[in-house]
Amino acid sequence: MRKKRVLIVEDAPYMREMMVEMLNHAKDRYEVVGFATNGKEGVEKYRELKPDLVTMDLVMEEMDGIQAIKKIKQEDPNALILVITAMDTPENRNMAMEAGADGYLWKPFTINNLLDVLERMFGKDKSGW
Amino acid sequence: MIERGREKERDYFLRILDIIEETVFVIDRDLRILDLSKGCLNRFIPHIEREKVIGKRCYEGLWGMGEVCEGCPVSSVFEKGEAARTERFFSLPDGTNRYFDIEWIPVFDEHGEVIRVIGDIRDITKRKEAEEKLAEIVDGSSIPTFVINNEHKITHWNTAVESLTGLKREEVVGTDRQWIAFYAEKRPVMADLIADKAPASKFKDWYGDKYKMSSLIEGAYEAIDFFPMMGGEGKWLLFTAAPLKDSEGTVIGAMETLQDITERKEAEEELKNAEEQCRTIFEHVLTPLCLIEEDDTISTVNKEFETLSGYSREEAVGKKWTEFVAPEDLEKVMNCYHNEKKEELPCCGFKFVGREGDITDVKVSIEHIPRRKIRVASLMDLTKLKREEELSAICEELKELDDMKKNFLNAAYHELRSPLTPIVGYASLLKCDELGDKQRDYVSNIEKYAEQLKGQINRMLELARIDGGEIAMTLEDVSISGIVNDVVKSFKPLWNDKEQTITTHAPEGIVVRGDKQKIIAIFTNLILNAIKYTNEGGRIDIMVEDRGEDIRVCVADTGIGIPEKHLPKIFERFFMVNTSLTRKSESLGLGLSIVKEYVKLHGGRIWATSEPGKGSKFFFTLLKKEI
Repeated sequence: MRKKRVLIVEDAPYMREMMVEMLNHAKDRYEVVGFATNGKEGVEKYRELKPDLVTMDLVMEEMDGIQAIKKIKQEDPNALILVITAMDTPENRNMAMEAGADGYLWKPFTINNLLDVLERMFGKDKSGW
Repeated sequence: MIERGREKERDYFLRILDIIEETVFVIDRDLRILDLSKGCLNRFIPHIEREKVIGKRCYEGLWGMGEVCEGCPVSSVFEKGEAARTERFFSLPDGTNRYFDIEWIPVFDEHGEVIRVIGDIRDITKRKEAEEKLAEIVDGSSIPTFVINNEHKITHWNTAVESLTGLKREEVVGTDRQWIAFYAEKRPVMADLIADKAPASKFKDWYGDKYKMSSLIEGAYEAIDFFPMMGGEGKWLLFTAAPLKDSEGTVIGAMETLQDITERKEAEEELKNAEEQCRTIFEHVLTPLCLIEEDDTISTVNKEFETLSGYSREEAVGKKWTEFVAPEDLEKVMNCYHNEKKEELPCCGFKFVGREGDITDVKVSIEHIPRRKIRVASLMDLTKLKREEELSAICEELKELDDMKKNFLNAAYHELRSPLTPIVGYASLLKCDELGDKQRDYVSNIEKYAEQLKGQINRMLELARIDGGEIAMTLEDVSISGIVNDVVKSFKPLWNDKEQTITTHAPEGIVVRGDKQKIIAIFTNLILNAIKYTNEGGRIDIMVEDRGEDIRVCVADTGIGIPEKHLPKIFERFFMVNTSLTRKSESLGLGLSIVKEYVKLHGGRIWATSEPGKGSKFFFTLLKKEI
């Protein structure tokens, strides 16, 4: 089976680093193909790389995650987007869901939490909610 | 015989004419003058000689006219045998103008035929002149005026009264319907009473206490009354009626003048309201006020002045204002008192002496009202003001502090939580590698304490959100017994470990309209605390009571208890009973304060009782219906 190509949109370097480490533990399934540090860059990288999945932070400079999700989904309704955020409030969840996010993971999380949600998103239901 | 008899009768008749003072003349069918009375000749037509007019037609002989008068009724009197009347103006040959009222009386023969007519003349020139003068006065007047005669018929109705009443003179002159201008039903107006020379009791009957005798015109009365019928919204009228008398002093009618004083009345009403408003403001304004008369005595004070001075109004009134000023300040206040410059209100500060000799620092401003020869002194309690200013500054500071705290909590939440992510994340990565038992324990500890830290941070955030009013309630029907059982069950490993007994008494079917997650959090927190603070082998009782409007829950334990002095504080933030370093439980003390907020969100309250060493009881209520 072809490896799933992942784009990480996240402004904190240590978070990007840690996620790469985590995905390395499942490198037979996932491959990190690029990074973006804000929403705007995320949209551009998506166009360029056409990844199988995007992990999306919500609070970022330039363009926030919610806007980026909307933009990507508008250009490619089949895009798979996983929201990863520290802001676990009902309002944030609703906003992410309405923008079209396909999954939701809140910080802090373990490697198992991350791999679990990815598996579900690439599974039958295509949903990480 | 008959002829002679007639002659005799005629002689007799003419003899009478010769002597009577009345002004009469006799004419035949052809209007020829048969004879005139002595009065007629002497008084009335002195220039006419009897011989020259006898046999002439009346219009020639008496009035010096060439043809019969217009509308002469004489021929009709001859035909019908009924008396008639002429009232008209004559220009006499001597150049005088006269107004005559002539009554034509038929004289019948034995067959009932009219054989001659007696003209009875009355000179009404003077009356007519007076009437014309009156008409001139009335019609020319800009004051609404009307005149009635002693038969109550309207004779004059001027333009001004037309526009006041909306009734044209053609509609009313000659009628006795003067009431329709003012009343819905027929009744006398004041002029009617005057024309009748009615006694005072009649005026009272119709006008109650609203009428009075005029001080200016003899025999006249005046009154002020409201006429709801008039001019849409009604009118206030001041009306005066005076008798009209002829030269002999006989009342021949009455004249009534009207004045529309609606605007004046309304202005009076407004003034009254304004006065009342002033009085209310004076009484209720939060500033001590007093009015000072010309002789320096106080004529009235308001409630605030009573409070400031300690004197009641009755006691303060009549006192000199100087009694309230400390001697050393008297000169200063005196200068201020007599300063009548217009540009600005004179004001100064002084020591106010109250009833008990107590001193208050005040500021006074004195407004001089020359027209009423009084001064209004308004005082400001500077001590109170200073205190209020201080308090408000403190309030402001506290608010700032509170805002800072909120911001701090928000920032702390984010700043503390961000590093937690890599800690948890890397700990989980570490476990993926081959580790010795010891290392595995270390990682577990890292994970355990990271989890605790996460809980603390989450509680801080929750409180920050409650304070910011950002908490949304998701309402649904919540089964209380279900929650109690679920929570108790979920902690079974904990209380089983400590060999504690938990009994629940929660009748099924009790439903609360509320936020399920928050209600779960309330029970979780209290039950977990009970387990935590109760020693091994202890017991915990949970009781839910349906009280109709609300439910009351009691969570009782046999734990270490809470000292009484701490009981009121346990729901405060960051409060912990045991602050020693050796405490067994780990908490920032935010749990109970969140519980309290959640209970409040459900319209309930929470409290606790405790006996140290024996145990604690936590009670709370929740409204069953949403608030």
